[in-house]
Amino acid sequence: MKYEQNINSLCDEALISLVAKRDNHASTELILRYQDKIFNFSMRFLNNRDDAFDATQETFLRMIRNAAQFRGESKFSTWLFSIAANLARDKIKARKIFIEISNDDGDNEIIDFPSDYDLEEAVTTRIDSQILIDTIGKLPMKLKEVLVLCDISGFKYEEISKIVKIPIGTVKSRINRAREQMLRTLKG
Amino acid sequence: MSNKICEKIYFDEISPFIDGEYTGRSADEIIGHLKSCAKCRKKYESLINLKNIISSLAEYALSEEEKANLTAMIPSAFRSVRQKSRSVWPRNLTITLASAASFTIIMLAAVVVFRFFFLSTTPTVITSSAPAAVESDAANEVAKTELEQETMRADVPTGETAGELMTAETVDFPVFINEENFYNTANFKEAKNIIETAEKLYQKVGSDGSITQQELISKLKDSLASAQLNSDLIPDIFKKNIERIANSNKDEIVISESTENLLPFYAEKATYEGDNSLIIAYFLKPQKDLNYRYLLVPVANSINTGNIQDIITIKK
Repeated sequence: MKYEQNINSLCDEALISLVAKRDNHASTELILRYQDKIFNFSMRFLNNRDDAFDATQETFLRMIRNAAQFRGESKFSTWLFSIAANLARDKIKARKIFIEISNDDGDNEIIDFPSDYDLEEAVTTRIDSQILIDTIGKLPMKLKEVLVLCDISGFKYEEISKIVKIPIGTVKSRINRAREQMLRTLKG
Repeated sequence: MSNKICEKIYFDEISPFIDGEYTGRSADEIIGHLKSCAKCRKKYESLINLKNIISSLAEYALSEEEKANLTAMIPSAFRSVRQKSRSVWPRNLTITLASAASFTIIMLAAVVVFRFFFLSTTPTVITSSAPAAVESDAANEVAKTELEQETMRADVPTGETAGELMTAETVDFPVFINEENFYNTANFKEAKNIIETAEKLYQKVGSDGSITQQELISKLKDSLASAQLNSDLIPDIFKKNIERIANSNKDEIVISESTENLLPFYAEKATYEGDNSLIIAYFLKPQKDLNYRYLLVPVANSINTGNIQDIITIKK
């Protein structure tokens, strides 16, 4: 009983090692800790509640199944979000709803600011949240995932680099491009 | 500053800068440039506003039923791990059930086809045991599947939860401390002392009653209201948040995770773990030539404590 009472004081990495030993309580604790974060990330990424819940459930299923493979080389949260990001990406590909403008994969976009571009007016402090959600939703997948991981899930560039498996420099440029694109879209 | 450096900052460096990611150029250099370049400062303000707005989007919440479903699938997930380890089994239970169902359908179809063929050609020998045996196998598969599903349901824990997950409801931005050299050890120690004092103060709320929580909060609000934040590098939206805290009627201030995500740029986080509370303080990173008031806002984190509220104190 003492163990059960104290399990919520264990760090994530200790808990996942218990999950690898098929510990129900450790699994429950990790799910409780991360269910809202993973669901929120999935919702922002997929913009569909059923898909987001499926992705969340599958993320935790994979967490349990692959617990023994967690080596502690990165933080547990990084590892878990990399599972969630892969699943979200797969779901988008499966739905085939992702439209890339001119087959732009997000890597080669050139940002061109007209000289009279007034950035101050581009974003006011009060934007209808639905417009914002739609604008995020319209970003190319590669830009959206790094922006969501950075601004909504709160990861540092190095962690995003591990989650998405791209160099830090690419993380930086994609986040930059995502923001520029959002500013332009919001400006209309 | 040359146009090339300005362009570099404008196009490449402001975005990582607001994320607290410094690559190459120091924060002081960028801040110095922002002070002197209106165009870059406008972009900086737009990007920090955008980041703030995105981070402040309401979080989607799982329903209680969905949460229950997530924890309820743990036994079946472990079962699938065991099945996986046997290697001859399919990779997961879904595939297992799908395979069983497919097998059942195929076998039933085989029975129907077999019977139809048999009845239409040699009706006199329909009592042969062969189709009956096939049907029996198929029925066994169905029963096996049902038994497996029943076992899964039986394994689902009822009313078993490991605790409530904290959900922050309000998004407010605190005021920060500013010191010439926050990072030096003496300042950090001092910060820790202040946090410890704050916790002791808070404990008085519950123990000897010499100070009430209302008084603590009231003290904070007065100090916030009189705070002079004269930096043009603090975006208006944050000043508004500070105002909102000062004028709020709420007795507690909760920093949501989404807001906390913004803090690394503006503030350094320090934590002090007391006997029954975890207090988190944020300190504004030193910014040269800016004359901030010296403000400290420790915030108690109420995870797993239940009765600990937010504490806020200020040192000038």
